[in-house]
Amino acid sequence: MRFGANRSQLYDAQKTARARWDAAAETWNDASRRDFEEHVWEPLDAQTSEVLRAIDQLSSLFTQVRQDCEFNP
Amino acid sequence: MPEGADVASIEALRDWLAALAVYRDGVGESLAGVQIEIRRGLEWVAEQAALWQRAVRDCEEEVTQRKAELAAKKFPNWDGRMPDTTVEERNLRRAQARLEHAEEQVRKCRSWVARLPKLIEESYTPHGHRLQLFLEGDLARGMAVLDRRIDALERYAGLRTDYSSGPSSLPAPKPEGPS
Repeated sequence: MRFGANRSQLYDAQKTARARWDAAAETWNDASRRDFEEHVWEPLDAQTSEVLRAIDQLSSLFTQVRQDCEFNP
Repeated sequence: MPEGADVASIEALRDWLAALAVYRDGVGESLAGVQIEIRRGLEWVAEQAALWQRAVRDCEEEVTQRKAELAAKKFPNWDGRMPDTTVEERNLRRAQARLEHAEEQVRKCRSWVARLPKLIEESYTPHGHRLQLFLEGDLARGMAVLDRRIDALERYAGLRTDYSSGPSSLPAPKPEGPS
């Protein structure tokens, strides 16, 4: 129930991929690039961001659970 | 007439495709890792509930014992006076407080056990599931199309020695489905 490592892995992967996309896009400027960008890259990037936000919510949720339930008689 | 390909560096496209594969694998690992942590979290709450339930039983026994100690002291001394039971009463109050705390913890744990799956379903599951499906569907198809396009460009570039020296305006390698 510790999500930090998975979140970091995802965040770093997205950051690296964005930089690599920017580099690739500089050398690729035609209809197929725009199509790829619209149908593959942008949805992938957006959905990754959504998952990052969802992991943050999960993390908050489980922090509350830990505070409420941890066995400390 | 289809727009020509405008690719300054096929190698850069190959690099991008390789980077995308690394990204896909990293995202997949992260999603799998989150699922493992969710399962661990659900198991952890159930374990805490069991521990608190055991604590309730222990506290009930202690309360019974403290009541017995107090009752044993509530007999007049040889001189007819009632003995001081301050300590026993305090011990009983503390044992009862511990019991109430443990019972409250059991209620909290059970409440989370009941609510957590739905809260996870609302906050995370649809997003994780959608991204997983995207990796396996649209992304896989997009990468396959891009791979074929790069192959076609490489074949075409093999016919032209000046191709990789800068941006060019090649005819589209071949018509394909959505990329």
